[in-house]
This record gives sequence, structure tokens and C-alpha cells, in this order.
Amino acid sequence: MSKTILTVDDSASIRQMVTFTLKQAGYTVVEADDGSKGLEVAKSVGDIALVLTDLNMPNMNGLELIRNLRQLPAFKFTPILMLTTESDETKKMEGKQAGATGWIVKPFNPEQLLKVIEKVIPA
Amino acid sequence: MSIDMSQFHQTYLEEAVENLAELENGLLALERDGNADLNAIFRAAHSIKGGAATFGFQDIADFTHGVETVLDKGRDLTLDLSAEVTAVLLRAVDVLGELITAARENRKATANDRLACQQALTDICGDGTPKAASARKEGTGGHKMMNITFKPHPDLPKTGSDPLNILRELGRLGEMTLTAFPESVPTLEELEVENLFLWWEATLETEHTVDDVHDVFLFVTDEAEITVQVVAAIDAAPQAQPVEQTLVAEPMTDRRAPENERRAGNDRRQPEKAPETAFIRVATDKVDNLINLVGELVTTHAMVSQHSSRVDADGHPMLHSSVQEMAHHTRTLQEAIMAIRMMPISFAFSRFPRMVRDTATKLGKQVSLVTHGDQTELDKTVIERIADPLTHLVRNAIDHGIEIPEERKAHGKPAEATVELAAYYRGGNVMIEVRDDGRGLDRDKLMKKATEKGLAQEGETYTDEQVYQFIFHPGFSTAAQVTDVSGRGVGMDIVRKNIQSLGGNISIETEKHKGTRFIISLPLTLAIVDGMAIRSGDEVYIVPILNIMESIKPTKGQVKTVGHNAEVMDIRGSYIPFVRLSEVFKTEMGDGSTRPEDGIAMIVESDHERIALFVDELLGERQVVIKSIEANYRAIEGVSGATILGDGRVSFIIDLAGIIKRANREGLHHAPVKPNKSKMTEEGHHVV
Repeated sequence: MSKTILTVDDSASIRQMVTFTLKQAGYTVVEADDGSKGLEVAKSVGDIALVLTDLNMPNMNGLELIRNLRQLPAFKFTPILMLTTESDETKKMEGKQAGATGWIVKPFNPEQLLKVIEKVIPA
Repeated sequence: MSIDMSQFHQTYLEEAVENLAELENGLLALERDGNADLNAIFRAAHSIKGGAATFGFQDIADFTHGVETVLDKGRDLTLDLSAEVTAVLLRAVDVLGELITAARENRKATANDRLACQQALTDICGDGTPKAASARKEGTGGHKMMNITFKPHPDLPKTGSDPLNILRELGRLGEMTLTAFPESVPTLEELEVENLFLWWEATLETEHTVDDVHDVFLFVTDEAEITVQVVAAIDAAPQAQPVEQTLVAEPMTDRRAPENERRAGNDRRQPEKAPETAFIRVATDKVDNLINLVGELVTTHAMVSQHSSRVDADGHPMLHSSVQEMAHHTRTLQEAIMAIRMMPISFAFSRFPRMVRDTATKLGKQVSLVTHGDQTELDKTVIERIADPLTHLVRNAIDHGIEIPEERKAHGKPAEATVELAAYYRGGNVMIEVRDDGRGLDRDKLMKKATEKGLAQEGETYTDEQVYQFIFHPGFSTAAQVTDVSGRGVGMDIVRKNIQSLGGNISIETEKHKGTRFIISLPLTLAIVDGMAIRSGDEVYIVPILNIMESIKPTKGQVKTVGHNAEVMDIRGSYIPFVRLSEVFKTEMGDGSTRPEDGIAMIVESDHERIALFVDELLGERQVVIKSIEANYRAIEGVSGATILGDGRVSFIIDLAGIIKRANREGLHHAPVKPNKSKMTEEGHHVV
């Protein structure tokens, strides 16, 4: 069975591109368009191999989502990657403190995305 | 199924503009300072290219590729990013700007410099690479042996990083021998099962670069201590190299389970690596913790000492001698711990040979750099923070101080100028000098400029010292022509500010046609200060010894009131402001007298401004541990920190620069009009 990845991003275009890329690579993808919806999806789906989240989102931002996910027993050690921009060193630090595993620098192309994902959840 | 990428175009192009700005700023910094974050510059170009390729802007992607290649080689040190190369890169930035703008406006880009610039980039890579690459090949490419240590913090798993995963990825880079060290695994009772207590050492035989190895650890650099060291380059026939052979005697693949790694850790038949044994790596926070603890110990000792002094000395001779012995041990312990953080200044000096060469070449000058006292040690933080001011001073010396060869010859000096960097100890301080044998500061020119800027008044007389100090004023620059190396007049004030923030100061000595000497005095460490404890009213303060020139008991009539109650003190014929500390902090003066002859005037200096600071009593020299007020409350002007006295009281450490500033601003060097009894009106006083 293919691994399930949760992608959380308020930008439909980015979400679409990510989903497209991941599906092509054989992953199952679930989506949410903000942090609080992401948290709900995470709770209901449960068996998620990786979470991919943007940081700036309405309602619940990426950092809060990461912190909330880490509270859930099922997500204690789940790799969580955040989408960030290169200049955002402080965001990276905050993300790590919240419990993020790593980051993907925006803008990225499909190959870069898959490479980073394979780094944290090897096939 | 396909996705319409055009919907991302707008976003991409905006990002490209931002990245281009970053690229340009980075290049300008590189050109200006000879020193910039090459990784950041590279990433900016890389992002432009990456996005362009994704979203179908092939012309941008192709063109940026050339820029990226040059930067990549510069980053790897296989190419010298000289002034010429940087100039081409800046041209390329302009071309890229046009390409991006054209894409945003949906029109065809005007060609202009594009092809020529692309060719220039190709040429740089073409003939610049091979020879430079062979000269500095170490660390990039080639078959080599690396030693890697990976010490994750216990809470690494909390960020979802799997160490096994990381080790496997590392193993994929080459032939790896892995050793796990289990000695910090606690007993089962104390074991936090979700924490990680193992650490690993790997020997990797690989074709990859050190950067590639660091990339493996990309996401855990903050949650682990990682070192990567190239031990040896291995030629095509590794069999001919017996040393490496022993190192890879038991090649172990990366796929083994942690249990096996743990067992390997107990098997200590691996040869010791000689250069490693002399050092152990310690996390800096452990050292800082030690420094803190020893600071507490010093304070506690001061308390013991104070209490024991009240005990009859004859009745308890042993008590007194042991307290004294304890003082000695405490002090030795403190010095030993401070020494852990000490690094030779060569860490800061090492960047200069290259910088001096590049700057001099760019300006058409001949300069040789000489360093003295490279092994002089000072605190790591001080070294890190002094590097930038030093860079600025050296660059200034070359740009403004050193003459062009013809001019030097005309003055009978050798065409090649000398810039010297010297470090040495003086008392509890480290002195760093930047000397040049250039034209020296031009007093008349400085005066003229200072008058123009309104810093100096016409008709007034100024000492040489005062005149030279003008160059530390914001916006002061005497360069007739602003060069691209320096001369924007935005540096010297920052230089002085940085040095002062380290508790140091800077002075100038100069002689026309002989040269200039900038003398920086820095404390050995930022954690303790040698101070004089003084009493003003009921309060005890610490004044840094560094600032104290002398202390005088004023005689009757030595302090005079001039103008509107301003008080000045006659020091061997020159008058300096007489500032009462009790006025500065508006504290209760107690029942004591306010007459100058009943107290002590400390002649103190900061920023070459001298005042007489009037206090009631000197209590003696102390070495005190600085505690930050800012971190616990907020900054208070005139106070640089606090310390705890032997009797447990809190005492402020005086920041004289701040006191002088306050006194000047508030006109505090006046006689107390009428001892106003308003106690503690000054905010921030009595913080604790």
C-alpha cells in the first residue's frame, strides 16, 4: 500500500502542484487548506507517513499545526516538512522548535520536492 | 494529466525579483568587503534558475545557469571571485533583470548585453577552473577518506528525525565504517525511552564532497553536533596506501541494525586517530554553564570572605588562612574555565591576507601584510565580534592610509606599503593594533571637514587627539572621492560602537607621511570585569578599572562653580566637568557632607572624554561577575550590568560612556542646588 502524505497549504495552486507531483510518484495524498483543517484531517486519517505544511496560513498557521500534531501520540515521530523561503532562517528555527523535521525551500520544483521527501521517508 | 504552470508565473516572477535583489546585494557586499555569504548568493541564483526551469522560462533558466556555475565554483574555492569576475556577475544581474521584467510584461527581452555577458561567464568557467581547481582541490571531488562524528541531542526524535535514516543516507555516499558510542546511555531506571543517547563516528571513503556529507545532516544541524573532516585523499590505487587500508579494515555496510552498531561500539580495536586524541569536543552551553557556576562560586567566596573578616583573626587562624587559600583556588579555577573559551586571534587574522591582496590590487597599491602575536588568546565571542571592525580598519588603511606607489616613492618610501596587525596583552586586556605606514591622518583636512560638518567651532583650539576622534563621528569621511572600497563614511562610527559594545575602546596615533596606528583595547572576556567598588550615599557601585585614570581627594577650591552652577575641577591646570554620581542617579546623599573635599574625585575616561566622578568613598578593587540587567529588566543608560556583592547586595556596574552622555545631556555637572530629598526618582534604580 502506498504511503499517505498530508499536504497543508492555503494556496490552491501550490497544493495542486504538490499533489500532482506526489501522486505521480505513487503516494496517496490528502489535502487541507489551513492548519486547523489539516489537524482535523490528520486526526481522522491517522496513518500518515509525512506531513507537508506551509507556514503562513489563516486560522491556524503552520507552526501551530506542527505543535498540535506533536501533541498527538500518532504524530509524535512523524516526519513533518515545512515549506519555507530561503531567507526565513528564523522561521526555520521556530519550525524546528515547534517540532518540524525539516524544510523545503520555496520555490521548488517537483524533483526537489521528491528528493527532500525521500530524505525523510526513504522508499 | 498535466498541470497548467502559467498560474504560478506571477508568484514565480515576484520571487525572482526578490532573489535577484538578494543576488545583487550579495555581489555588492562581496565586491565591497571581499567577504559575503557565498552560500546565500548562490542560493539566490539557484532559486531563480530552479523556478525558471519549473515554470518554463527557459531563457532565464539557461542564462542563470551560467551565473550559478560561476558562483558554485566561487563557493567551492575552485574559482577566485575576483573583482573582474564580480563585475561580470553584476552585468549578468542586469541582464537577468531585463529578462525577468520582460517576462512580467509579457514581451520579448531586448538582447543588449546578453550574449556577450553569457560568453564572459563561460570564459570565466572555461579557463578559470582547471588551474585553480588543481591548486585547491582538497575537499572537493576526488576519492578521499573522511571522519564524521554525529552526536544527536537526546531529544532529536522529537522533531521526527530518524537517526538510522540519516546514517543510511550517509552510507549511500560511499564505503562506510560506523562505530556507535553507547557510554551516555543511562540505566534503565533513568532511561527516557523516547530520547536518544547514542552517538556515532563514521569513517567514509567517498567521491563526494564535504558539502555533500553536510547535506545529509541538513535537517539536524541544530539538534546534533556534527563534524566532518577529510583525513586523507586517496589515489586511484588505494591498495598502495597502507594507512587508509587499516582504517577501512572492517568495512561495514550501512544497512546494519542499530544493535550491530552498538556492538561495534564496544569493539574498540579500531586504531586511534592521532590528531583527534588531543581534543574533546564540548558543547558551548556546557562551557557557559561552567562559567556561570564559577561566577556564583566567586560571589559565594566573597560572601564567606566578608563574613569571616568579622570573626576574630587570632582565635581562628585556620579559618582565615583557609579562606585565603580558597580565594586563590577560586581565582585559579575561574581562570582555567575562562581559558576554555579562549581562542588564538589567528582565527580572526586569517581572513586578512586574501582581503589585503584583493583590496590592494583593486586600488592599484602594493601592500604587504604582517601579523604579530597570532597566538594571543581571547574569548571566542570577542574574536567573532572583533573581526568585522578589524576588517573595516584594514580596508580603510589600504584605501585611505596607503598611498599609490608613485606617491610613496616621491616621499622616499618603499613602493610596497606595510599593514601590520598586532595583538598582545596589557594588564587584563588584549590590545590589537592596526598599523600602516601610509600618509597619516591630515589634521588640517580633518579640521576643515569637522568645521564644515559643524562638529568643530572656528577659532576654538582642539588637541590632536580631539581632532582625530572626529573620524569616529557618524557620516564623517574625508576621502575626496568616494571609492567603491570604502569612503562612504559609514564605518568608523560603527567600528567604535562595536568595540565599545565589547567593553573596549579605540584610540589613534598618527604622524604625517609616517603612518597611522589604531589601537584597540579589549577585555579578555565578557563575563567578568575588574572594577573599583565605590560608595555614593548608601549605594555601592562598581566602576570598571579600565576607565579610571586616577583618584584624587579634592582640595579646597579645586572644584569651581562656573556659569549656571556648572562645576568643574582643576586637574593640573586643565578643567574637566565635575559630576556627582549621586546627582546622576538622584539618590539619597545620606547624612554625609556634599563638600568636594570630603569625598573622592575619580578621574575617569571614556571615548576620550574625561570627567571627574565624585563619590563618597573608594571601597577597593573587586573582580566582579557581570549579570545582565537588560536580559532581566531593560537597559538603563549609565549602567552596563549588575553584580552581587559579598554581603549579598546588588550593585550596579557603571557604564561611563552612558554616564558622560547623561551628564552632558542633562547638564549634571552642576552643584546640587539644594539637596532634594526625593529618593529613587530615577527609574530603574533599585531594580531588584
